[in-house]
Amino acid sequence: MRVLFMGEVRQYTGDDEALEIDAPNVMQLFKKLGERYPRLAPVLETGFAVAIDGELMEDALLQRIDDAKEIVLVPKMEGG
Amino acid sequence: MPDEVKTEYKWVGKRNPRPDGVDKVTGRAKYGADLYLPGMLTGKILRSPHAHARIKSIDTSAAAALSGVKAVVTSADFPDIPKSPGPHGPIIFDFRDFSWNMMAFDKVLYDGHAVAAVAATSESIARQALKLIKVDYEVLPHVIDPVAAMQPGAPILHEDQITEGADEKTAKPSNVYRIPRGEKGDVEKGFAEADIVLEREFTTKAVHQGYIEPHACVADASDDGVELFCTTQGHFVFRSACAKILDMDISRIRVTASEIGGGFGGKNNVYGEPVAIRLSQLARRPVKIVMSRDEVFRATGPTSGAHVRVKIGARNDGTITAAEGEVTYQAGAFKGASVGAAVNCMFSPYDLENAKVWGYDVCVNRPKVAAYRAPGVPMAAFGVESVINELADELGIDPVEMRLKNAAKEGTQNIMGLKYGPIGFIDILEAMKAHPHYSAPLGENQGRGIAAGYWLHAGGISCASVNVSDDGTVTLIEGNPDIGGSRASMAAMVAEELGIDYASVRPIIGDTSSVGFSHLTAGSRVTFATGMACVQAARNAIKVASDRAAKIWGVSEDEVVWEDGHARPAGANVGDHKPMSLAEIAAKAPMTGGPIAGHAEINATGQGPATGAHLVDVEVDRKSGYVTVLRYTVFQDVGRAISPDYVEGQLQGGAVQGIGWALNEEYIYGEDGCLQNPGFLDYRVPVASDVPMIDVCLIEVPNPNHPYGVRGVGETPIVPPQAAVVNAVGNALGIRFNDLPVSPPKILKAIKEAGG
Repeated sequence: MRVLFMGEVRQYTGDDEALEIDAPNVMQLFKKLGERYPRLAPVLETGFAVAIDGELMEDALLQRIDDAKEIVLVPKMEGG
Repeated sequence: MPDEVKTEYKWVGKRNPRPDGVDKVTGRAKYGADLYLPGMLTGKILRSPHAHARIKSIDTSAAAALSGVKAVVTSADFPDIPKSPGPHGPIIFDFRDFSWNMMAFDKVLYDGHAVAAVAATSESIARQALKLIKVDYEVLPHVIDPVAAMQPGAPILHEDQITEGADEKTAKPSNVYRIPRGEKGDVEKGFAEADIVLEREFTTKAVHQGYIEPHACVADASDDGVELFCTTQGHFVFRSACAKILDMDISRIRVTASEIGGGFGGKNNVYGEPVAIRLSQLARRPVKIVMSRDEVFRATGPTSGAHVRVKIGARNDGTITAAEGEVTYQAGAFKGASVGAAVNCMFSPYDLENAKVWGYDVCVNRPKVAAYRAPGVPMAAFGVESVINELADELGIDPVEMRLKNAAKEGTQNIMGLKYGPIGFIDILEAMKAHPHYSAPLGENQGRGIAAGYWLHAGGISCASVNVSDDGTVTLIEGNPDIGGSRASMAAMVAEELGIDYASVRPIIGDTSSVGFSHLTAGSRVTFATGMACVQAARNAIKVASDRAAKIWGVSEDEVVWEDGHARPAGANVGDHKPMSLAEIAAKAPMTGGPIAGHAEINATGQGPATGAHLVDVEVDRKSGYVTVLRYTVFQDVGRAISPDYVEGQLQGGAVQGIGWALNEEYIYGEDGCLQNPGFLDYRVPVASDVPMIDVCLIEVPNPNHPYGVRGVGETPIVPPQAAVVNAVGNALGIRFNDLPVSPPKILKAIKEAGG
């Protein structure tokens, strides 16, 4: 699957705008991303949700993503 | 969970009465200050008179010795929590900031910052005791404006704060906590393709949510644990925060949410609650703390004041080729302005190829900001929508057509990377264009304005229990304080699922020990997320009831279906069994296996974009500068209005709050850094006589990820009003305004400068 780095996450991934990566679920995806971008590791679970083929999933570490084509890391938002 | 969304239901989408309605309008409902316990003490908090000062010493001995004083606390009575950004169960906060905001440790960081507290047998004794506390301050230079706070040499609030996300790494302490960014495409290329490029700067002031009920709580500590009764947007989150700040086990604290007299984001955070608990632990008696209005203004969070720069390029046909935004927000005394939301949302109503946004989260000597409906977005949208209106004027294009030309649609990917599913923004704009209001004639000194807005509502953790009584009536327990009519919506969805009367469902807001963790009533999440939990709990109860019918009939579980409130044989070959109602099954429940119930604990996902647009007419009195709002119409994609009355109320309320933000409201600070208008006499919110009836046009483009198509509705309606109202005032006078609020003195000055 293709992981897109847009916006805020780019400050952790440097020049990388996207990455081809395989992971069975969001937890494993975060683990692999954290290994590749060590500064990203401590903020992944707390700071980011994922859009899986466009659908937003927050706090969904066990969500299967085997068949996903595109994952985007999306900053979590607070509401009023 | 999502079903094919139907169009007609028995209870969903109907104007059902609010279960809490009569109690709330007759004064029976119990709010935060309405609980009285035997032996209860009055808690009062001593607050800093300085914007920034080091605490050299605090002497509480005289206060403690006063007859009737049962406990006195300062920061020394609370654990010194380490800096802790990171996960803490389902909520993410730096609890050191919470703790230091609750009670100043070595420095006071704003006028009103708490420094000590007492619990006494009467309010007058508590007030006397506060006067006996001696605090020796070393007054420090202060900074109120975020742009000034970013300059070299500005007073630094936190010596251990290093900017995150800066282009150049530095180890120097800074008032800038972080610089979130968003980028899509190539803005330089986009601007080069434009026929016209406009760049404008805007400022907005800090504004208060304007909830009528002040913060209030009663804490009752015993050896077994703590009972806390308080006004809150999330009693589970308050429980976690109090436990963390007080270094207690979470399960030792039970929090019961009172009814809530408004919150709008301002009651997401603890203030006096841990103080009341600590006082109660020391006094071994219940302690009540009720904030005065002055305290609410000086010591709880408003939304950020902001500096916003917007640059947009467009072709002559109105197509936007590039957009750029820079936002600088006051965080108050501790990090955490809603800059990220501004970055994510400010251009998100539009389908843009090239966009770039960044922002600064800046600490200043003001109270720590809190969320306020669509936190962070209205200020940025004020800039974006104002520039779009000006571009439309410059290009000679109708402002609705300009927006239609660039409107987000299904498949649009916004700057945060989210790809939209079904989205009703085009439907909204088409409805506005066709509405009689849009083409109604205007008179002299009258102007019309429009603006749009976007918010991505939240999902998250919610729990619910459906307990069926032996007469077939239902108690629904869920864990979200009811601010906007959520009891009615939850009950309607459960009644719809079970096939019983709406009046047979009694929705209860459970305390933190009677239902599973439920996140805040915030982010427009409750009808969506908690609604999904209620639906799931009802379906689980139906499964139990259906299985029970199967046992009674001696058939297998898959031979029973639930239709129209009855268990029925799935087909003719199952046998001739008379359908059983929920009441009939429940009546036999004690003898057939036990009670009928269903529970759900979920993390709701699949929230959809919520867009809206506002249309407003105003008249400006050129002699006084007074603005009369003549007519106002809100258009919003609400997905599915479970309770149309309360959805309309949300939209009307957001519009009125936005009108106040646009025309009057502002925190005013003196040169000493102290707030000069901490009360509703000097801080002007709109009252009923200030506004016309707000008309509402509900557009329903169902969210396919919710069983009834729900989108959150509470945040979006406060995003467009500022730009819409200021646009209308500008059109009435032929003058553009970039600085909120557009108050009468500002209007008179502008008229004079324009030669009027």
